[in-house]
Amino acid sequence: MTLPLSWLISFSLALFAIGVFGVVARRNLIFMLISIEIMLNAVALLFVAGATMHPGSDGQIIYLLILAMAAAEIAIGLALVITMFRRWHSLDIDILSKMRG
Amino acid sequence: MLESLLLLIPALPLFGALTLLCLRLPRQVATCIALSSIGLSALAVLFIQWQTASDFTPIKASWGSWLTVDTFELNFTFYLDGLSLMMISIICGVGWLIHIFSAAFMATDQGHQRFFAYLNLFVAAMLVLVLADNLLLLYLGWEGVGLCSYLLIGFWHTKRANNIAANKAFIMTRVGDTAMLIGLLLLFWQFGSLNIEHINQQAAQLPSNGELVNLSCLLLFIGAAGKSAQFPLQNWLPDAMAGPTPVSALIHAATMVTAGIYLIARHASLFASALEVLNIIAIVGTITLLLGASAAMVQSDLKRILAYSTISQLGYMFLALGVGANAAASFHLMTHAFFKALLFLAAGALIHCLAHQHNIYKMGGLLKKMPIVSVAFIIGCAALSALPMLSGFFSKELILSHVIEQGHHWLWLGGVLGGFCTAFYSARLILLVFFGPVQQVPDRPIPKLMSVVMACLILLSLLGGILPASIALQFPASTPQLSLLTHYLPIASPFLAITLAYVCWRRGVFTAPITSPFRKNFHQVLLDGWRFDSLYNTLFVRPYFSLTRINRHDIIDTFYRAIETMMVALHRLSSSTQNGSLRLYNASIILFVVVGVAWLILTGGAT
Repeated sequence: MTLPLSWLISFSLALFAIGVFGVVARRNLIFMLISIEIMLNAVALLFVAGATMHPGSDGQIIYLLILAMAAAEIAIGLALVITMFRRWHSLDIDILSKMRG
Repeated sequence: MLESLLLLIPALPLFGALTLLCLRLPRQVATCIALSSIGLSALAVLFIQWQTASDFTPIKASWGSWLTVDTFELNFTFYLDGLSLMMISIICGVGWLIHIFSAAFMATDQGHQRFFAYLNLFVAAMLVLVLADNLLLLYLGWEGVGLCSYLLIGFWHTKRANNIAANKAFIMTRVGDTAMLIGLLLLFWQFGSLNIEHINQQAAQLPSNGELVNLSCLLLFIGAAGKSAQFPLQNWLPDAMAGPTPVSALIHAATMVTAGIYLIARHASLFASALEVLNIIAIVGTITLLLGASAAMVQSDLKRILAYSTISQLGYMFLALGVGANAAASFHLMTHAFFKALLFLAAGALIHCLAHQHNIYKMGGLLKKMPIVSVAFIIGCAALSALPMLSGFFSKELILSHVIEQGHHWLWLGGVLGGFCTAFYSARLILLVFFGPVQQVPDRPIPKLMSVVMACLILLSLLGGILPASIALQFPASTPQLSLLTHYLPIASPFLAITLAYVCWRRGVFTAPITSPFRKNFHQVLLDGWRFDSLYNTLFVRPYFSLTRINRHDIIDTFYRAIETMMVALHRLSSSTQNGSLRLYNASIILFVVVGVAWLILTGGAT
């Protein structure tokens, strides 16, 4: 059984919107990182869905690329989060923003 | 030979002034430089007079080029003819005597060197003024003497009143100067040249009463009126007496204030083609002479009497210019320089010895105490009142006879009335100061130097009544035929006035308190010089102040300040977005992307 493409697109859009909302609305840095992951996954899903529609393997290649990038990003992001927590004893983004950009 | 001497005449005082301004010199050396620079100039003038006594041709000499624009050329060229020869003789001769007097007068003053520097600079500027061959050079000298007048009126600058008087003199003459500058440019526009000879020649060929000629002559006359304290710009002169007395003698009696007369006599041919302006000049002269003489009759300050008398005598000269009697005007200029310088110097000696007493009501009986000053005053006042055989007599008679010859009966009557008033206030001055009971004794003897200078000027006032040949040559004039009345009334009226003044004095009219309110008010009006100060205050000064009060924050600037305020507000707005809050940045990026994408979708991606 194959899912209709429109479902897949709607699902990935919804995921992306949830991610966006999480980034904007959440104040905890870890939750913001998770939200970014959700956005990345939404995009990855869209690529995979697109790959089934077109001949060739471009979609899968891009998906692997996104996967690798997300892994690298989360590794650096978590390292930063740990350093910040040690330094400020808080992960509240509004408190951390006193670093002024 | 004569040319190089002519170049030297203004250069020496200028050199003296620069030396005194730049170097710090011992008192004696400074005095020596100041006196010798003018003295050498005076010698040079004397030599030129002696050389040219038999036959006089105008001499021209140049310091060099001032500016050249295309074909238009201006040079530092000096031009010496009969009129300017007489003027430089007065400036250097009387100027030198006054310098010598000042050496005694300022002997103990702190600012002695500064004083002589300004005085030398004044003489240099005045010489440039009278010798200038083009109008712009004349204007340079004109402004130079104005500057020196300002500096010297406010010489004792620690007193506020002196500074105010200096400002007043400068600003009032500035009004005239501005008019004169416009007139000068108008002349340049018409004749394409600023050369005075050239303008005079061209003007002689023009049809008379041209509108432009009239206008430029009128503007030049306003400039002359400002400098020579004529109605309606006359009220700075009495206040200018705040300066040291030798300054009043040199600048505000003998030389600078006569620059206006010189200016008009210099442009005689030009003014001859502007008959309407000549009429105005004659009327203004008459008004001024009556105004000055009437105000002088009630003053109590010795120097103010002399100041008002100067205004009135200058009025006579303008009256003469107005009826075309340039020779008479120049002649009166010369005799007036002699006797008024004498009067001022005598007043200076008097004030010097009476511990700076200016009030004539507090003097009296000084005839025996100060014989030389008394003689000086009596001769000076007699010449001023035009008593027969003294210098003032010849020149004033000449003026009045020309006025009646030209058929200006009313102006003539004004002149005679002015002469009556002149004799009256002169007699009042003499009687109050030198006769009657002694009120204040001099606390020191008159310095010898002052006596010598006064003696020289007494001689000049006695014997100066000979019309200089150079003037007679330059402005040939017929001897007017006079009827019995017009001949003898001007001669008799001073005697009547003196008798009247004597009777008044014997009855104590001058010193008695005034009882009737009308007379009291009138007395006050005369004392204030016909209230021109308060008139100008209400007409110009106060409206100007209220304007400045309105405009205190600069109305035109509000526009620019609005731009500034707007910029500041925009800056606040945009800097408030740079608040370092990550979530706000995110939200704005997303908002922008959403709006951008939506717009792309809705417009179909068309660019």
